[in-house]
Amino acid sequence: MTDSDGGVDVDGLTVRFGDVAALADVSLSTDDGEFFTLVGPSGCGKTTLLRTVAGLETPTAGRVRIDGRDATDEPPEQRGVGVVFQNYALFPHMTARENVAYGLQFHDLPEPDGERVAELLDLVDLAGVADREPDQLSGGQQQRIALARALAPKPDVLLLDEPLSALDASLRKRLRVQIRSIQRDLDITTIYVTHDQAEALAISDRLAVVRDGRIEQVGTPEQVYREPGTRFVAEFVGDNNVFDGVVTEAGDRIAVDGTATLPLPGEADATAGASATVSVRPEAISVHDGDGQHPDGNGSTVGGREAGTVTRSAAVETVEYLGDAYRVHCRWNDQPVTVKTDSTSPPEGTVSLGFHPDAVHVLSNGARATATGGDR
Amino acid sequence: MARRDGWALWAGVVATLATLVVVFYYPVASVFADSITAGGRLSLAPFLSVLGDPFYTGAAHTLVTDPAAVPSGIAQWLAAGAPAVEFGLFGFTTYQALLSTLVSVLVGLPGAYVLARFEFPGRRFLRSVTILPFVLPSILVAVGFLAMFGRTGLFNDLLAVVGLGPVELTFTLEIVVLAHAFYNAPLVTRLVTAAWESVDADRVETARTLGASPLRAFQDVTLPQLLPALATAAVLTFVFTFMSFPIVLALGGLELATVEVWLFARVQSLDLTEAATLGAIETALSLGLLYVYLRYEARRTEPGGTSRGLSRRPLVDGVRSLVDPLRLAIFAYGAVALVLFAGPLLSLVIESVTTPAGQPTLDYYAFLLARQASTAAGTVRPFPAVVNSLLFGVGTLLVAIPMGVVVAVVATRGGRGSRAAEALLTAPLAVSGIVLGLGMLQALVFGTTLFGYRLTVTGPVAIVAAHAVAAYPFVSRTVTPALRSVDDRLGEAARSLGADRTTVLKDVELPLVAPALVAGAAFAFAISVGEFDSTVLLSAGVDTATMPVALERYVGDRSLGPNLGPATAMGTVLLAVTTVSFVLIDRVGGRWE
Amino acid sequence: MQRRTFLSRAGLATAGLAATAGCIGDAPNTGSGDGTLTVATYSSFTGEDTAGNWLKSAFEEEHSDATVEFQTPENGINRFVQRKASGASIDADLFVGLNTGELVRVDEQLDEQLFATVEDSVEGADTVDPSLSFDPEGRAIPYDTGFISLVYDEDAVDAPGTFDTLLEPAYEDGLIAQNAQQSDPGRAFLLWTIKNKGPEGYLDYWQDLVDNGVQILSDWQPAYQAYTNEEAPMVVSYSTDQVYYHGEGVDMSRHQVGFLNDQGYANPEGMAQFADADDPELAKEFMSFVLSEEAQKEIAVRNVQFPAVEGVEPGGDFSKYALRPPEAVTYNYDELVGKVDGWIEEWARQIASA
Repeated sequence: MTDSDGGVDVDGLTVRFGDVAALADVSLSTDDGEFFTLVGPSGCGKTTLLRTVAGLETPTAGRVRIDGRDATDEPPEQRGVGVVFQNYALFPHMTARENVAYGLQFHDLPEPDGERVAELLDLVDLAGVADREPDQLSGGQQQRIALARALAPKPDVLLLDEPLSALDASLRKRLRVQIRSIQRDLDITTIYVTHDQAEALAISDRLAVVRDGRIEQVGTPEQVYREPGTRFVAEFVGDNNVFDGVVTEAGDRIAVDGTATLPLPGEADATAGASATVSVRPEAISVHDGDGQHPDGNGSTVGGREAGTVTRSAAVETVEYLGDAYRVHCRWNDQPVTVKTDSTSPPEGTVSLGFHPDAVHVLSNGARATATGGDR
Repeated sequence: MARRDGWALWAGVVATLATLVVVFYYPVASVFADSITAGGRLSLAPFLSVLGDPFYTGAAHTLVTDPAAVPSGIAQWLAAGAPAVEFGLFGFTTYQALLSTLVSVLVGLPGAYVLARFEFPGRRFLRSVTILPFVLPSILVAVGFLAMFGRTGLFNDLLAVVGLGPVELTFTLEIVVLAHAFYNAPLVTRLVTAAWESVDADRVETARTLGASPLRAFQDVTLPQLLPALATAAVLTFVFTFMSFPIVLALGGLELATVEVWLFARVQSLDLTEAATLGAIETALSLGLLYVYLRYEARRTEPGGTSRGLSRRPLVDGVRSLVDPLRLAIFAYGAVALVLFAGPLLSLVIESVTTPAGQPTLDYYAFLLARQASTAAGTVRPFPAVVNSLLFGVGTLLVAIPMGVVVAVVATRGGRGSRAAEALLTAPLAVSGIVLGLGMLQALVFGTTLFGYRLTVTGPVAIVAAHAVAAYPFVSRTVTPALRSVDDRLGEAARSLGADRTTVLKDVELPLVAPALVAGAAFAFAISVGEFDSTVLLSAGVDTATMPVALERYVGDRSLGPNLGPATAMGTVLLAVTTVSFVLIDRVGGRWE
Repeated sequence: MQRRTFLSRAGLATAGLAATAGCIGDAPNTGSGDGTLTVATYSSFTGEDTAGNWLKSAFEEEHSDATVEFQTPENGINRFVQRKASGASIDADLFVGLNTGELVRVDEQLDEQLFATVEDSVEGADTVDPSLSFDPEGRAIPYDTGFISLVYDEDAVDAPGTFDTLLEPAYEDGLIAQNAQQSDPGRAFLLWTIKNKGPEGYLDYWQDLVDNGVQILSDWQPAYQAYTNEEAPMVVSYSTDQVYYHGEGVDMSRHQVGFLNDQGYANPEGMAQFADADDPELAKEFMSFVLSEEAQKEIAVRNVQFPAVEGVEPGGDFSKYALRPPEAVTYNYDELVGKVDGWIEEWARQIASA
């Protein structure tokens, strides 16, 4: 992955609006043909980053490189990017066909037979509505036309800004599969902006979690999910349990909420007495009926789990049925804990929760974090 | 129906119609009746005699007098190499209206661009006072224009400084067209600015990323979104300038007479049948145009949903920006606008403190104070005139806004014939002011015999009603498109929560269209403050005199010799009062934006 | 104000409008023989320092039980013609400011008599200069007159001696006149040209005037304003021009009066009592008062017109600066009846088609 071939490289990018820094010294790089997602809460700067790549915002500092060339000073029409906005932004006075064809005239792509337009309408399965005006199309159709329009001039980079957020859940899922497969077929570098972390995990080759104008973590979905680099990433991406505590004398546990402890993973290099934050995914905690409290829990093997699992007793508060599993909200001492179990019946009353050291991920402080996976 | 819509809306519809019937439809119909009767029977004779008169319709008169000869006439004309054809008074009137519309759009459009796309100190103020010219009584504008563009005017003085000129503009078609632009370009600017501010930035940016240059993106994406507003402004400008009367009379001279000027002369000589016929033809043409336009507007779908407006650039961004070609063009436009808009007004103010011999004086303001102190019968005093103008203005707002909203609701409802209904409800824009005045005089002031009583309608309430009728189409014209773009689901949500139609309007839709409502309110106030004809007709005496009436009285006042000094002083007062009012309306309204 | 309150109040206002009926009622019936004399006139005749105001005060002083009220309808005498035609009552006793052409129009429009014949019953009517009397039926009695002439800038042009002089190249773009359709001096000037060129020749003469650049503006005020602004060196106006402009520091060269063909066109203003007047006696007393020597002098000075009564000399600056033409010409009523409308119409069509 060198910085010069294909993709988008952003180096030291800062964008200020008046006194507000929407982006502060952001650097990242995508691979050629990669599906790269910017995910974060609203107002985090992810859209600004996308718009700056598109040339729609002017950076206060930093460079943007597209396909190996410095595009920082290029106007949007010369950057070879295709953009799809959240609100589709179809031209209301043109038919679907005219919308798709619009960009071709600027790219020396003569269209005597409308082949390219037909090809793209086929690509998004919308050949049948080519002659309708945007207000006669459903939301999903409008979105696909917008995608076809962005792709028509064969851009180097496709930029998608929350393209699915205005659609209903099932349509959103279907469309994101379609977008992904089109992207693979065309092998086009894509930057995708979303606030939906599940979507980000589902669709991306790699993703960057953005917060307050800075990149928190970059990595593959698996890396970001399993090994969140910061408390923010841990809490933002997927369901998670985050515990603050102090490393015990022995250095192999963390005392959460006074006396109750959780194991630390073996590779964690912890300093006794230091404060630390750990996270445990709900599905990594095992659940069993009854009070299985073993305060020190050393060596006890429960439910086929490997050695080292400690069990803790907790009270079930609410249970959500997810179809293939239950999400159980419990209380362990004063700590809320969410667990996920695929047992056939919902747990109730008092349960015992099993924590394996390898399921515990150290986020910060007293312990040096495990590798976060993000290499940039 | 009544249950579903809520009684208040229907009461509003009834009250609106009642008001319209009393102070508009009935008076106008009583005049137009003359145009379709001859010797007490229904007849087309008055129309045929006008349309068949080459003085009125030029070459087209053959269509009436000898339709069979038209094909051979056209053939002969083509054989002669298609020389220029005269279409009489109607032809000339149309020509000058087209020219005026073109110039108004050319002058108004860059103004909208600057106001919508650039940020600079005073932008808000400028936006507030854009429609100031709209209120100015034409006599004032005429005086200002002559003082600015006359042979010895400020403009020629300015040209002389840079070694140009002098230009002779007075009593030419050019100055009439410029004065029409003075009145109507602000209308273009105001309407288009609002549209430009609501252009979806994402669409423009999409076009840019697809490869369009800024100019192409404007042409392909922004312009189509501005077109409805531009078309509204152009149609209104055409209708207004087609029926323009005082400006043509004051700045044009008889050679440039329009249909309306001719109509006025017919009324003066009490040839009311021909006057009514001319008025009816004017109205038919204007209404036809409005109807066609309304159909076009209704076919368009307003882009709904949430959209991000285009951001404004600073007009001045460092010293370097002062010399880039776009900024230079904008500054050049600013200079033209300054000459065209500020020039006449400034000249007017200068006139108010200058003797005919060019010496500075405060005599004209002393005159106003003297009139204020006077107790002589028939004296119009300035301060009560200011108060009356403001009272009538506020009264007009209170009546015209509900009327306009009611009409807008009816218009957005759609359905069969609603375009025609809307056109009829917009008719006050399409009827000659002279015809309306004549109708009011005959039907309201002289009175109408009903059940053995002679009923007359005059006084302050009648004046406010007449102003409201003149003003409400501006409210409905600005509110209708805004209302159309409100998401239906919002209303449906409120209805599902138990709100009736009226409550939905009040709680959901009106707050959402508040900016349009404020713009309409400013127009309504402006119309009322500038109104002269019906105010004079319906006023019971000097007690209800308004600023334009006072001004007109002072024009005829010879106590300081036959000069316009006192009138210009009153005009300056009018200018000051209305400027403050506009800024206030905009500020108060701005809270809802 | 809360939006909600505002809207509901606005709604109330609409509802209130249905009660526009609030001001519907019987036509006002003013002046019912209670000593109130309602005088209809043009607006600049009334108000501070005007002839009308002086007349009111002086007349009321002389007739302690009488009150004079002015009515200044925007459309002048037409108001009463239209009222009469539509069957509405005439709500005034007297009309002041009637000219020959208007009287002709009144008679052509109405079958009934709008005005009463009063000549023989108004004291002093026989003192009026007979050359100014324009109503053969003795309804309208002249109370003052103006003479239409040119006013010119002697620094810019030589005195235009005759109508034909105006066609010379030296006077190109030199004259501002008024629209005879709606302006008194404009109509008088047109009639003056007809007087000189004849009904057959005047249109050709005007074509020549147009070719030489005459400007025809709507009324005296804009025309004179344009002249003041030096748009042209000559304007059709009144021979009393200098009365306004004499005085220290005033450049009289711009206020020279030109009598074409040594003539001035007399445009007498008359007063007439409405046939339906509530108090005809008081009206006649008022008319007599207007013709008294004192009133004639005051009217002349305040209205800047010549007295109509023979032998009255206003004196002072007026007599010094108000210029009488060597020869006064005018068309009388009989000469205008049935012709004047056609003359003006033909003329206006020709100009507007130019």
